[in-house]
Amino acid sequence: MKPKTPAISIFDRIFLSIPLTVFFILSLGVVSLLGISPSFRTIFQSRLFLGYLCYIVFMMLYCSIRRWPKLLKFYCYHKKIFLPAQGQGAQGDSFDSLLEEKKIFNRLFKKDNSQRVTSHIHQVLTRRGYQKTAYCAPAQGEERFFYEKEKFSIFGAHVVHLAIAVLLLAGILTAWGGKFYDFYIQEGETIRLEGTDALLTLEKFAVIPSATKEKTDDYASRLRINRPGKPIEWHTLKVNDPLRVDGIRLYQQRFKFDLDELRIAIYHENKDQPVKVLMTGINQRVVVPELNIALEINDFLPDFYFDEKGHPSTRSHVLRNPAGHLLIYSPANSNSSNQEQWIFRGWMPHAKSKDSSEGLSFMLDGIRSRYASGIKYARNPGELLTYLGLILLVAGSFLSSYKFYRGLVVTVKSAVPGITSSASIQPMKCKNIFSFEKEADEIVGKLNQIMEGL
Amino acid sequence: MMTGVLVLYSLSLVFNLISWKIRRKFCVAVESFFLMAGWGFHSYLIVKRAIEAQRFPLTDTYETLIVFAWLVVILSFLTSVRFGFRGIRLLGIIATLCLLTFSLFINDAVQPLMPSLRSGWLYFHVGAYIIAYASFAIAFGLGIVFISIFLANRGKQKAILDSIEGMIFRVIDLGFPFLTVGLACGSIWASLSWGRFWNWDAKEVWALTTWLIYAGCLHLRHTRNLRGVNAALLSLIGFIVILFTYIGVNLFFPTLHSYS
Repeated sequence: MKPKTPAISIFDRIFLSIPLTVFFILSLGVVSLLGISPSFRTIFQSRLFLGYLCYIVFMMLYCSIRRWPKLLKFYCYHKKIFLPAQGQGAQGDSFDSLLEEKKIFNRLFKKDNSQRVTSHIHQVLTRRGYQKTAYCAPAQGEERFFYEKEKFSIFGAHVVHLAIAVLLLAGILTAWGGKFYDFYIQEGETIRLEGTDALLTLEKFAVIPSATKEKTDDYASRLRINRPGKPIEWHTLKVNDPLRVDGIRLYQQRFKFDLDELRIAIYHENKDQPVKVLMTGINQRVVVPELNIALEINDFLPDFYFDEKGHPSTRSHVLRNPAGHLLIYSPANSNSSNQEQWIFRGWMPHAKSKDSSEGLSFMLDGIRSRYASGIKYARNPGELLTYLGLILLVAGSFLSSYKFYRGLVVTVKSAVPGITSSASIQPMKCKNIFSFEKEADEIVGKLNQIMEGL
Repeated sequence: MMTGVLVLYSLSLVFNLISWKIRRKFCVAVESFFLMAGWGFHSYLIVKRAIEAQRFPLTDTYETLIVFAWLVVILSFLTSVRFGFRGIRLLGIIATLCLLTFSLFINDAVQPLMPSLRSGWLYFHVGAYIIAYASFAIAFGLGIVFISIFLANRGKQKAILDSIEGMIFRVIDLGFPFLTVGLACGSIWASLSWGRFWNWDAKEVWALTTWLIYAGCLHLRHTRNLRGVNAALLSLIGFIVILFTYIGVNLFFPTLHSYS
């Protein structure tokens, strides 16, 4: 073995230490579990956590870099295994250590049939997907072949390691240069998109209710994007369908209902025409001097209903059965409301108080509202790297779990000079003994059957 | 309807147990008949649900549970044939009965899908996870069998134990890539829907913990030659963490995955 240079051995000690790796992975687990709690959530944005991820990335990259040359050497191993006697030495010894002690197949046959036996073995093994990768010409009555199967699978676990390093690197890039925040934009409002020259206008927001109208099937924003010196563009932003604008992405997240104005109509009992119609907004107190009362709407539900517990709630965000919670102050200058009621559009519940508001009924006469679209702004420099990491992760896990490397050394040599020869198969050590044993049994069964009478 | 499926699987379980005592082909044939009938009826209910909901039923806990149970039956049947060990079928039926009994206590009303769930990624993400979970459920059952035999015989039946250990790892090998696909698809979907690949949500963190446990299990197997009771114990721990990720997280933590 070549001695390590001092620099490499220091790096090995820092980046390849198993106890340190175990400690880091366990503490990463603890930090992740802690971060689930909202009070510890900021931990993931801290520089300490970023530094922590950086260290793990370096560890994994270093580990990968150190292992790949050895791996590539092993991939080309077949070129060296049957070196002439003078070239073997340590190489030959190390090869023997990779072989299982027990042969899976050993059979005697008539020497004249050597050619046929070799051809039968080759046929059986190639039918099972093995490839002959090395051959040692007959010497001292012995001929050796090396067969291998699914050799590329030796890279599987290392591809997974590389993928984790790539993903962590993408995470660092995202944390370093990424920007994410949510904002609301009202219908008709225009804002400048941060980091670009584009002006973004929400022209219309649409909510599609479900068939039962109790839930929202879908919602979308019709956006106008205006860049100086460029033609105006219109785009529809939908859930699960982000929009890319000048290197940033916009995501449709949520929406809310912004009330601009509520019109309350006040009626005297048994009168068709309202006594007074007044404009107000949420939490705005308006005085009606002629009736000596003040009114305030402190809650608004677009689709009023009583929930399972009997509490007023809204079934949907569609203006189907709008209701306002009205506080009535009587007399107008009193500090606390002495009557409250839900008022609706199109019908009137009657007031029951005995004060100055007695005999008055209230109705929502009109609503001027706008939707506000909740959009996520995302600039993620690690996006492409994340996709690459995920592809590598999936490929590596399939490769390492569904494929496994097998190597077989087939030896044909004379047993009793001039009369009989023997053929044997010795496998290389295999990571998946259980499946290999099954396959080996099938190969041996087939060989025994085909070599009957030879 | 689901009770009918439960009855058929229970009858299959009874005949499976009898067939271990009386090794008669008749018992095995009757057990197979009830298993196939139960599975057929189970499949019919899944298709009926899909038609009723007008989508593949993988969108809430009830739907994933019944598909999970359905997959456990298929996988246990296929692996028992592949490995030539009928005990896996028994484990599969027991796991299916547990899952379906649990599903009886869950709201089974068809709910309209919320907009963020209206994505093709849902089926890849949840589907891959369910395949992985079904594999790990079988590994869990095999782990229990391994530990039971080990404790009963003080580790003397080495050949049987080695064989069960091999099966545990083959089944984990089968499920692990799907666990990875589930994680990757979930991450891509999160990026399309929520704007970030990773949100440090409780469900995500526990899903990652599950992945790390099984990745660690396979890693230790290949690098440190993890064997015997430790390997079986790790398969048990892995599945307990899966159950917590699947059911427990929604009960104990506020999560973006509250609909699942």
